[in-house]
Amino acid sequence: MADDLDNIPSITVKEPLDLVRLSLDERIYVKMRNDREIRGRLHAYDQHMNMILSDAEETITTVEIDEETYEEVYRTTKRNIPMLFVRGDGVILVSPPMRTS
Amino acid sequence: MKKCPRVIIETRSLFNSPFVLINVLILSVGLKCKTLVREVRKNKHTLIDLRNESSVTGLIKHVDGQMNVEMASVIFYDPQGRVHKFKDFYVSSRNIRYVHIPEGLSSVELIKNQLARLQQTTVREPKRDNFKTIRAKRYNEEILRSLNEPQPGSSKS
Repeated sequence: MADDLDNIPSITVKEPLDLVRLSLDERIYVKMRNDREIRGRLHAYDQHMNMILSDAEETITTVEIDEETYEEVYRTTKRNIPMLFVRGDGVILVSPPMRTS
Repeated sequence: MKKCPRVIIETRSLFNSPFVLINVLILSVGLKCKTLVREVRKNKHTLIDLRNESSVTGLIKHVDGQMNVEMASVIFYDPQGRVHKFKDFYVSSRNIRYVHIPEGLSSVELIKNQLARLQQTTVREPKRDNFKTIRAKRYNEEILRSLNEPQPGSSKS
């Protein structure tokens, strides 16, 4: 067991972008501006947070206020895109997928 | 385009091969985007979602280092959903939200190819020395010659 511990290659995490590097080839959750979220498999990224995601699912959340009852109705629209390039200036955060849904 | 930011572009191939770290010094900031979007052109119609909820689909004619995109024979869907057709279309990079990459292209392979091409730096030998180099070499030879000549009286080599 001690032998195995020695053989583990060290992945140095020096800066915040390295944390994104750890998620390469994994499914991630990206929160974007304008109430959008994307879940997909991260293939590539760069320092602007431009990303390439495969099997991406985009969720757009809208709030509609019912005039009569004044209740807020949250509606989500989903889209599936096989290979998506995301421009980094729209990205708010990147995270491993949250297993709530 | 003389900016040289150091960019770490990390990719993993789609087939679970070992982790590949690619450190590149690139000339333009948006290289990865340009690479990918450029590879996509001429082949198939590419859909670009813009920031103002409109979309453009067409053939990509040219992409520059800032990721501004020039397209041809486009169909433009405005935010109200109306359809417009244009022969030429230019999108400034700030207005791009998504680029839908057409299927059949392995994006990671494309980026790797581009980077490999860039990393093949050809060593350029100077064909002719410039004047200063020639003069310096000549002085050097003269000094060496004068040092190696036997001095009258002294036997120091």
